Amino acid sequence: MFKFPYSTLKSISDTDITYESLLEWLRYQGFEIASTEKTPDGDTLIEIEVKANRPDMLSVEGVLREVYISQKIQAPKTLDADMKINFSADNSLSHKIRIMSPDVHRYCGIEITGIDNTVKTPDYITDVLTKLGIPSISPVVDISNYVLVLTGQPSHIFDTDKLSGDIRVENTVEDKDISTLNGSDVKFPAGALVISDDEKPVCVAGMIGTPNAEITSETKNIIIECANFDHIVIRTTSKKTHVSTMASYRYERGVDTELCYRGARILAKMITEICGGKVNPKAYCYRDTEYQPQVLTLTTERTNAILGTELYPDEIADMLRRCYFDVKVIDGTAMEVKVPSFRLDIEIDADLIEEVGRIYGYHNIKPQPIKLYAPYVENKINKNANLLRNAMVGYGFIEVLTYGFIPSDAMNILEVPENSPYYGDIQIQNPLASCYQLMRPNLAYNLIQTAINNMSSTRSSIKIFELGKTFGKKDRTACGYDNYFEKNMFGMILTGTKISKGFGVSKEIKYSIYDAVALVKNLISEYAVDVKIRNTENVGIFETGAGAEITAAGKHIGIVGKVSPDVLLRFENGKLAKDEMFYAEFCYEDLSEIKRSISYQSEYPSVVREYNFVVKNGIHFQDYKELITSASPFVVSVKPVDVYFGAGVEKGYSSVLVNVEYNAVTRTLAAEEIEAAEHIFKVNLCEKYGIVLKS
Amino acid sequence: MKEHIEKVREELQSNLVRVTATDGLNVIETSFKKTLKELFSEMKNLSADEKRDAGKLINDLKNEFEARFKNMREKIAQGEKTESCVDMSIASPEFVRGKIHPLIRVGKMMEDVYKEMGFSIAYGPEIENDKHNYEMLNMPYYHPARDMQDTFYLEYPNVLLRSHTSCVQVRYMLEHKPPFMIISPGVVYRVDEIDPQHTPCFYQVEGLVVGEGINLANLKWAMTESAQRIFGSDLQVRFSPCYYPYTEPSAAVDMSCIMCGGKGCRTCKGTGWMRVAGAGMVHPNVFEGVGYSRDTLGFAFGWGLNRLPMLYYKIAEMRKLFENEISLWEQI
Repeated sequence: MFKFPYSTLKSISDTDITYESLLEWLRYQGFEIASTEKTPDGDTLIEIEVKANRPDMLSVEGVLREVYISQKIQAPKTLDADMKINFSADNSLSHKIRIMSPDVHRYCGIEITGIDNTVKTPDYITDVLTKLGIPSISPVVDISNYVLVLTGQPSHIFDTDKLSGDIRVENTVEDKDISTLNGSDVKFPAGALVISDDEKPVCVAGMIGTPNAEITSETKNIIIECANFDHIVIRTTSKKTHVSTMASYRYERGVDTELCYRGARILAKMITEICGGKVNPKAYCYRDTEYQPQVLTLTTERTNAILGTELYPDEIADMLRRCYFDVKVIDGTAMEVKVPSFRLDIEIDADLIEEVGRIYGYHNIKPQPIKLYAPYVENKINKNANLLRNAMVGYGFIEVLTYGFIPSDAMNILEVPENSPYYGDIQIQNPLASCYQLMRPNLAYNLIQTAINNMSSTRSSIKIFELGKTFGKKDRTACGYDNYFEKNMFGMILTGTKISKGFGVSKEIKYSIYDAVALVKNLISEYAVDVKIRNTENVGIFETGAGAEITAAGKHIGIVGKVSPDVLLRFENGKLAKDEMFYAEFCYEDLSEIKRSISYQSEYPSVVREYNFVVKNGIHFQDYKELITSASPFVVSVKPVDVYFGAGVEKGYSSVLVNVEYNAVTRTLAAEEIEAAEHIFKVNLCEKYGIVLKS
Repeated sequence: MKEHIEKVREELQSNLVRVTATDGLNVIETSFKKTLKELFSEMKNLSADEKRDAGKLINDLKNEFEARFKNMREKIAQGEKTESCVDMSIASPEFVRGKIHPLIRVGKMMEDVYKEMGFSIAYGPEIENDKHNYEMLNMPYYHPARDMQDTFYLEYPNVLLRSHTSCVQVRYMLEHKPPFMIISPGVVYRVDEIDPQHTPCFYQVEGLVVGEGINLANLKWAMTESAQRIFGSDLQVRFSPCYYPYTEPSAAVDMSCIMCGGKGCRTCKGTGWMRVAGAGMVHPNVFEGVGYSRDTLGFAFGWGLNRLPMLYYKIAEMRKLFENEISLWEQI
């Protein structure tokens, strides 16, 4: 973001720029206007969003330069830097400057003696600073800030009389505690670029000064530092210390290496004009490398290929020249483009093509249909998700979407043991709050809480589902990216009334565990073979004896069961969950639609008989069903009709009413044939499972 | 016998007067059949002449009342039909259809449109590493653009929750050679406090088209076409210069406000436009990073999805999308 007063831009402009045309051009060029704010004197503060690639726009001069492009004016007016100063690598300052770090690209030092820092800062400077919320400190400091806002060049000014010995610019070898000018003590990490004299740190380069060489009203002699520091060291130091200043904000994005000379001259000129003093005309200058302008080759063919345009070389060259590029057309189609030093973002030809595109106007590029043959590849996970989603909507469920995070104590709330595949302890290092600390290893926590949140005096029936990811670690004690895994899971909650009272129904009927199992089975059987649901005890979440694992083709894919009432009570407002709540979740990644063929029914009538079996708890219907089915080829279907516990049935047993259909393709079955089948399965059921008919 | 028959007739007549429904008639008819049986059985004690007379009388009685039963049955049936009074405007609470979450609903609209346009769908992990989320997208560790995407870390600095779905593009390119057209829909995470207009999770639909001859004009077509297919052909789409480290040239994509049709309203802050996506030609550094030639041509785009269902269904706050007040979802 960069904020500036409109009047300041106008004051250094030598062309007529209306407020409206300024905003329109900036918007047109993609610089979003974050805010505009009227000031009491009728001026307007304009804040523009400056993306990371355009640090040159973090100054009034930079904005003006951009606006001049719209007016096709080549040379925008800039601050006066007419000051006779000779920069030299020979150090003629009172304190020798020693550059001892590769992170320093430029370092200019100008010495001024005999200034009066008690004078009043001119109004035109304080006016700008006040509008931007920058406090006025003293003329020298105010001028430094003013020049930064106008040119984008950060500077630091040392009180020469507070320095002892040489000024060294070097990276720290270990963490260093430094008291900064804003009154805080900060631990700067090893590698930070620090400026020190023989005794003490005087500045954290490109970031913030220290009180050790602070400018005060008594200051008489100064050294102006205008430098260019490597953006990486400033950025990493700023991120680690959370220290961000106007200077660091610019340095970490990049500052024109060649701006420091002009910046230093402007500062020297303004300070001597306002505070008096004598400038040492022999200034110090360090440069790590000589400046070589970036020269890129751009072809018309490549430009048009990327933009989808039919521009001519001259048109391209003209557009680039408007943006201050020095363009030489080499032949009919290629051109050599010299990049101005302030455009740090221009590194490759694609960057130039973007310049051409924005000046030509994106709106002038005509949309063209894609002419590309790219094979369509069906995504199984997407397909399965949509099939499940549509099925659930058909069953009357509402889809919800919850965060991937759950509270740090969620595993305790859900009673999920550590050896459960639904246990997880992946912690977010920087969570929003402790209630969003864990990555969810199951969908249960969020779905149960969502169900409860929706319960009220008028709503107790909840049918919701979610399709989302769960997260886990292959080895819970190990670290590293490859140790993590995630699964695409389906989760659902079913609770409350299945059939309401009224419309011929005298008593409402609630959902039972058998409904939840039926739903899960129906959903999965459509897409998987050999689906089995077997009681299990080691997953948590469920009431003892009312939880089951779901397998498909022998592989564990999920769980279904009745949520333990104790678990429900641990949830916020869990008391609202008065009815039994059923939960299921399964992984849907590997499901596939099964191709099934139709077998025609016999034209001879079927015989249907019902049997009331007494079954010991723990024996699964799907197992003894197989015994009945295999008893005779005439058994065509075996279906459970009802399950009964209670009076008349011994404890530990249940009475299961089973409906068996017999049929033959070629004839009507004789009673003897059915009785023969009955005899076989009755014997087998008794021998293998101790199942007998209820007397 | 004659008297007996007359008595039966009188009883029947008096009973039939009171009958108004089929059920009652059935009872009387059953009883009548039983009585006829008894009368016929009584005849065996009579003389031949008496038998003949009684037989005639009983048959007359039988024919008379069978005709009357038939007649009454028709009348009652007629009466029952016309007298039925069902309020057909009342529906029982059965057969209530469920609902798809509004965010997913809009996402599916988008998926369907892109599938129709020939795009395949690609997914990737939500737990990512720095390499795929940043480095390979031209954002080295010191890049200021990372500030735009405050990241959740599971292990600092390498294991994180993806801050955009662009990493799916990188993974896809590492495993596939052009040409291809993909979209990668999914949830992304950024450190944002939950408040009315911010959530730490949101949905993106990113797209990537790589192949011979792909250019910015194709990108404009793809974005305009998809937006118009979803929101209507009157919708306007505009592009303006923007910056993303992984595209060059880059563009911000605005569409005319779907609330006011571009006239300017509170939602679009009076501008008539809404920022809905970012896009651009894939940066040569990204292509180089995945082993393609720097001269490869392709574009990428990314729709931020959270705002669209809010506008589409007039959901007041972004956080409501994740609060799942099902009485709200039932209305859509």
